[in-house]
Amino acid sequence: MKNRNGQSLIEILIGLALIVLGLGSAVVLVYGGQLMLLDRDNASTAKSLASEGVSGASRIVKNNWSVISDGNYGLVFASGTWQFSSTSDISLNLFTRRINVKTVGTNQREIKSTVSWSPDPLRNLSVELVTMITNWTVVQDTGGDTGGGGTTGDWQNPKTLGSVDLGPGNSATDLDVINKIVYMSSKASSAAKPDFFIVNATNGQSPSIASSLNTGPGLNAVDVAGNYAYVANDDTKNQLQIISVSNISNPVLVTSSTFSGSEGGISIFYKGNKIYFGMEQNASREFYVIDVSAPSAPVVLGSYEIGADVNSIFVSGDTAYLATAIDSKELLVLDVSNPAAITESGFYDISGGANGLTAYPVDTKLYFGRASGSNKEFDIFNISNQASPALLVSKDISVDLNDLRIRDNLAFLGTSDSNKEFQVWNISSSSNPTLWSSFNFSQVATAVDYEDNLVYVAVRSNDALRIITSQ
Amino acid sequence: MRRDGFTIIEVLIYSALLAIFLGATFAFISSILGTTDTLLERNELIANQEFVEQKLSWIVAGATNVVAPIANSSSSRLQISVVSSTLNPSIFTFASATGEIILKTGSMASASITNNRVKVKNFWIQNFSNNQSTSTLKISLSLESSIYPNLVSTSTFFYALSQ
Repeated sequence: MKNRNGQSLIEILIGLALIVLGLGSAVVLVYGGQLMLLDRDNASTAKSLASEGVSGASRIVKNNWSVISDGNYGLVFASGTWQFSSTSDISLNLFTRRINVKTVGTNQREIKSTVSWSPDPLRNLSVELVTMITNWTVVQDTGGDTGGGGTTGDWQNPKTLGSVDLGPGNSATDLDVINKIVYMSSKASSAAKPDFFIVNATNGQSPSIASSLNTGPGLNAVDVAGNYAYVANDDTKNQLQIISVSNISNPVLVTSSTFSGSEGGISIFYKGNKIYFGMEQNASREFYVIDVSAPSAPVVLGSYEIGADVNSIFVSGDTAYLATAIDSKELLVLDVSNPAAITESGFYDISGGANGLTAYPVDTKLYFGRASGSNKEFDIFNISNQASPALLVSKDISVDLNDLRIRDNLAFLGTSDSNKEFQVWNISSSSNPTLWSSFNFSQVATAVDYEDNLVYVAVRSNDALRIITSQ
Repeated sequence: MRRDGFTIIEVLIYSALLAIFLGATFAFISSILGTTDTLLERNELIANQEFVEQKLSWIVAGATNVVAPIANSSSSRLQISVVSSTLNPSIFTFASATGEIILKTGSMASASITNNRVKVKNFWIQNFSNNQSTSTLKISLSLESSIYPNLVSTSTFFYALSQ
């Protein structure tokens, strides 16, 4: 037999395989280490770019709140200022930065700065920073009513967190919530009963009436700013009343103003030391601008003849949006830059004669509610051009849409529907809002306000305040 | 005749092969170790850069006013007035001789916010003041490894102070 020393082929192959494996592992290890470090370096740069994106974009949006519209932007720093350019920007030939500006509520916007890069074609990495900014100058003007944080939780299954009874025969007409203190106006079965309530809802599960006040036969609307509540009185005199609420346990009527025409006040809006006041149709005028920089001595700055009930007022900038009972101008837009010479800047005649009941503008959209009868109770307008609001969509809710608030992609509606008094609509698509959820109360929902993911609903029944949660 | 062992040629060939293998292995291992060193230093650069950025963000977050450089000028010294009395004023200084950035907050002792494994080559602050912001700070930072001077890291941070 031939003597065969040395290795067999299989041993050589195994040996070679082991060497290759060892070397390969070492290469992968070293290369992987380098790659990791490179990724870390890139991530650090991307984070820095995203952070400067948030900071720069915030400056731009804060300084040009009404000019900058929602969308995607690139960012450049030129001549000492940040500027938007195009829809994204590229840094170091690797990082693509996109700034997304999105309106999430009245005077609140979300800025998202996304920096993405691809170290190799198969790996796409990104860093994203988000911030919320508030248009403080306007918020200050409206008395510090920010509405708080955005919506969270499951708004497809709203629940009652707590409720308050204002006493027998007393039904709520309007409310305003600031920092979990709810200011409510009501109409009672008897003029001797209180019609202004302050509810402490710091603990939403057991809100309690902190105090109440009787100002007359009943109140139709309330707006609170600073230490004062401004209320519209349902009386032929003393239609505007100003109540000091610096001590929530002891509200004090500071002053009352009477307007000619012998009809009641029905809507009120505070902005920048001025009250915008709406009345029922009367022989005199229905819309007033009143200086309340000295709340104990309000001064009428100007008025405007509407010729019909002014059911709701919302002032943004120098523009007042009115929901009226005029058949041909349910939505009326007034220029109030000079209160002494108020002019009509636009209107919209929605088909059918049902009255406008509520108007709520957010950025370039206006959300509008009407009385039933037209099959178009919930309307969304594009108000980019105030002179001619453009109707984007009308939804049929078959009942009165008494009041509404918008937050993020949700609209909270107070309606007269006997089974769905409180409704949540998804308005992600302005052309096709959809009913998201609803809630059944014992009576009509007359007003809604939103704060910190809670919706406060005024109800025309014994349980006059309902606090609705998504949790 | 039976001949055990190797011929001189075989020995030479095997020796040569072994030498080549050992040489290659040594070169490979030393390259791995070298790369590891480089990675460590690179890591150190990034860590220092991030630390400086975090310190800047921390101070700027509580800033009320930029004292130096004055509006629309630039310098290698950043002095900021801050809300916190214990941190006021906060001063970042570039010590070019030692290649460090020194931070002094309030009455506390100065401390270097970069370590001796990196050298700061450049720390330059531009203060833009205009109707967009009272102060937009553009801060350029260049770091170099003390051991491998060819390893550098350059970055720019922006901070905007509100109006």
